Amino acid sequence: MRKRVVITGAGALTATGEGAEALWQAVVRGDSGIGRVSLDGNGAAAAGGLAAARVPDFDAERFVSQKKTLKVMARDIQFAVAGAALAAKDARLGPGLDPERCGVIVGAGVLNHEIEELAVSIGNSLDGAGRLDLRRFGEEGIPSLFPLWLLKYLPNMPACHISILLNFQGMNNTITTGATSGLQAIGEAFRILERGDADLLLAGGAESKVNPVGLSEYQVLGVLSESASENPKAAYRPFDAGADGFVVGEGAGFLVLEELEHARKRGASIIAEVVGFGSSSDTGLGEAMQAALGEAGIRPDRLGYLQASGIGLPEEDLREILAIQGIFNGAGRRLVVSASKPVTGFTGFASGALDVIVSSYALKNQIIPPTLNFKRPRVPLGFRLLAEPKAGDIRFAMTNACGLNGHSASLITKAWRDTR
Amino acid sequence: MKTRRVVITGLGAVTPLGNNVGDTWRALREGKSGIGRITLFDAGTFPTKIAGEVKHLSPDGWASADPGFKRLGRNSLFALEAAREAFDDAGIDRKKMDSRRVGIYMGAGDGGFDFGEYAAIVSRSIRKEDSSVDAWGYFRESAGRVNPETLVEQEPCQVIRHLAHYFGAKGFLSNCLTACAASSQAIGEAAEVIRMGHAEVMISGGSHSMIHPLGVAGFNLLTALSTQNDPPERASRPFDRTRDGFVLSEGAGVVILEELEHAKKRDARIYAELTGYGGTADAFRLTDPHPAGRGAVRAMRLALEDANVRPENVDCINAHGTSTQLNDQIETQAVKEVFGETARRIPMSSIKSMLGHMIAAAGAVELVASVLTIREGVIPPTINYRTPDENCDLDYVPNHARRAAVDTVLSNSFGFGGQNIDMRHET
Repeated sequence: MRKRVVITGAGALTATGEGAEALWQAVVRGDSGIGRVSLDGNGAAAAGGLAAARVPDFDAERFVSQKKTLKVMARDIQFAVAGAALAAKDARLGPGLDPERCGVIVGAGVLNHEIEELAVSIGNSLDGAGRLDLRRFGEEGIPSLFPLWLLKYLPNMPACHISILLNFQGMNNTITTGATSGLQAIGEAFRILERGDADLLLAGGAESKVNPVGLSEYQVLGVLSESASENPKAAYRPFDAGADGFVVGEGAGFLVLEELEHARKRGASIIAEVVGFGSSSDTGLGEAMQAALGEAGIRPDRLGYLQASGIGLPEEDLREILAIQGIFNGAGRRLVVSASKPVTGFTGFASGALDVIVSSYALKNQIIPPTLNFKRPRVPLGFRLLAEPKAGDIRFAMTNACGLNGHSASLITKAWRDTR
Repeated sequence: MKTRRVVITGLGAVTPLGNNVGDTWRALREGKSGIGRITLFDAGTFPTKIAGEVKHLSPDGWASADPGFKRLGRNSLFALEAAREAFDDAGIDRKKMDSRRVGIYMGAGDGGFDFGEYAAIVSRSIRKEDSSVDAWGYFRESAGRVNPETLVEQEPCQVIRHLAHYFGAKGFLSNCLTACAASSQAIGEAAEVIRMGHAEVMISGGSHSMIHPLGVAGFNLLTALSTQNDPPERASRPFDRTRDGFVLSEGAGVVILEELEHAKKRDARIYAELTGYGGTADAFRLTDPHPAGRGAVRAMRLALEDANVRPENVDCINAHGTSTQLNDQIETQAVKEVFGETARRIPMSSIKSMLGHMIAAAGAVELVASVLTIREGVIPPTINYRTPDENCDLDYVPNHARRAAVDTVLSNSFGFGGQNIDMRHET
C-alpha cells in the first residue's frame, strides 16, 4: 500500500514578510513586495535603482545556533535555513522524532557569489594590461580567497545545513531543475514518503538573485520587465496583454511533508494532503499535469483552482496557457487560475514551493486568491483569473512550475477533511 | 509494494581513460591511470597541477546537427555522448517508444564558468580610488558582454534539458546535485521512479567537469586535493598510507534503467538488476564525514535491506575510495561495522585510483564498472597501492585486476555535506 502524505507545516520568507500566513495575506490582498532597490545592497531607494522584491531587514542570526556558521552561507542558504526553521516551527516539530526517518529535500541551483569576495583575488591576479594572469592567480590570487569560499556557494549546502541544524539523518537530496526546483523538491519528497522511505521530510527551495550578479544575468537573458523602472508594483503582470518580463524577488518556501499516520500520532495539525505529482521536460507541461492528474486519480474538472507558474514572460505564459487548454480540452471556462509572482516577484528556486504554500492555504481557507495586475489577456485564455479573492468549495488544487530554462512540474493537493 | 523490478540494459561512459565504455573498461582492467598535467588552463602555479581530463572529444558534430547544441558546456557534451552510447547500447527503438514513459534523472554539478571573462568584467568595475566594487559598473559591463547561451550553460539543469531535447523524452524528469554522491543518488531515485510505475525507461547517470581555475582553486583551499604532482599518475592512491587528497577529474556515466517486463518484451540484453538503494545524511559537518561513519553505515544497511540480501552474500564492493585521509579510513571502518568479520573477505577496490574523482559523475561510472565486473568476472584494481595503512586493512585488490565470480556488488558514494548513497546490483 502506498502511504498517504500530508502537509503539516509551512514556512515562507519573502519581500511580503515572514511566515506562511504573511505570504497568504499578501497574495489575497494583492499587496506586492516589489519596490525599488539599489544595487549596492543597502536596500535604500536609490535614484535609477532597479525594481525588485527584496526581503527587508533579514536577520539570519535568529535561525542558526552558531553565528559563525553564517560566514559559510550565501544569502540563499541563509534563507533556506530560515524557511526550514519557520516550517519546522509551524509544524510544531519537537523532540520525539526519529532522526533517521526524517530528511531534507531542497530545490536549488547556481548560487550567486558576492563580487567583493573575488574582487581582491582578481585584483591581485591581473597583468599589466588588466587581464587575468592565471600564473599570478595561482601565486597570489588563490591565497587571498576566503578558504571556505567553495562551500559557501555549493548548491547542495542548503540541504546540508538544514540537516545539521535539525539533526535530520534520513534521505537528503538537492534538486536542480531551474525555476521548477522548489516544486520538484516537494514532489520528490512526496514520492519518498509515499514509498515509505521516510516519515517526515522538509522540502522546499530558496533563492536570492537580488544582487549585481543575479540581476545582470537576467538582464543578459532579456527577461526583466522594462516597464518596471517606471512603475515597479504594476509592471509584473502574468497572462496580461501588457506583460513584458518579470521582476526579481527573493526568499524561501518550505513545507513539512509527513506520512499521514506519523502526523496523526504526534497530533499534528494538517493543512492539506498531497495526492499527485508529475514532471517533464520544458515542452512537457501538459504531460506533467496529466501525470499528476493520473496519480491523483481525478478528471481535470475536479480541480477547484490552479496555482499557475505565470512567470510573466509572454512566450512562456502562452506555453502554459496552451498546456492548460490542452488538458481541459476546451472545457476549462469555469476553471479559476491564480498567479502569485506579481506579489512576491520571481523567486526562482523558491517559487514553486511558495506556490504550494499558497495553494495549500487556499484549500485550508477555501478561498481562491486573485492575480494582481491582470487586466485583459493577450490571447483567449479559456480559464478565468480573479481580481478579488473568492470563497469557493475547493476539493483539489493544482500547482504548476515551469519556465526560464527550467522544466515542467505539477502537483495536486487535496483539502484535508479528517474522515476517520 | 515494490514489485516492479529494475534492470540495466544500456551503458555509456566518457572518462579520462576513454570516450566510451569499451576503452574505459579495458584501461581499468589493465590498471592504467587517466591522470596527467592539467592542459585545460595554465595551472603551473596552482598547488595542484594535475587532473583527469577527457581528451579528443569534439563538440562539432553536435553543434552542426542542432543549433541548440551550439555552445555545449563540457558537462553537456560528456552527457550527450555517454547517453547516446547507452541508449544505442540498449537498442531502444525511438520510433516505437512511448516518449511519455521515458524519463531522465541525472546527477549534476554547476556548468562551466568562464573565469577569465568574469575577471575581465570585475576588473573593469573595481573603483580606482579605494578598490571597492562599483555594482552598477559591474551590471553594465556584464549585461553588455556576457553571451546568454553561455550563461544558461552554467545552470546544472542544462544537461537534462539537452538530453530531453535530443531523446524527445517527455516522462519523469529530474536532476539532483549532491556533490560526489549525485549520480548514484540520481540512479537510485530513477530506479524508484520505475519501481513505483511512473516510467518504463529512465536515462540516468551523471556528468561533470570542475577542471577550471575556480574549481581547482576552491578544492585546493579546502585542502581536499592531492598536491603530489609528480608523477601525475601516482597521485590518486586510495587506502595507501601516503594518500594526501583526491585528484579531480571529469566525464560522464549513463545507464539505461528499464522495467524488467518491458525489457523482456523487446528481448533486450539485460546486464544486471538494480536491487537496492539507500540514502542518508550524516547531519554532522560540511566537509568531514561523521567519525563513526554513521550515515555511511546506515546507507549500506538500507541498500542491503532494500535488496533483501545478507551482508555475507555481497561478493565485491566498489568503494567511494577518494584517496583523502578521512574518507578512506572512515569508509573502511563503516564497511567493517556493516560486514563484521566477513569484511576482510570481500574485495573492495577504488577505480578512483585510475580515473580520479569525477565528482557528480563518479557514482555513475562506478556503476558501469560494477556492472561489467559482474558480467565479465573481473574486479578492477586499486592502483598505486604501496604502503599499507593500519587503519585501512581490507582487501583493496591492490594494483592488479582479479578474476572472480561476482554476482552481487555494493557501490558506495559519499558526498561533501554528508550525503551517503549506496546501491546494490546483481546478475
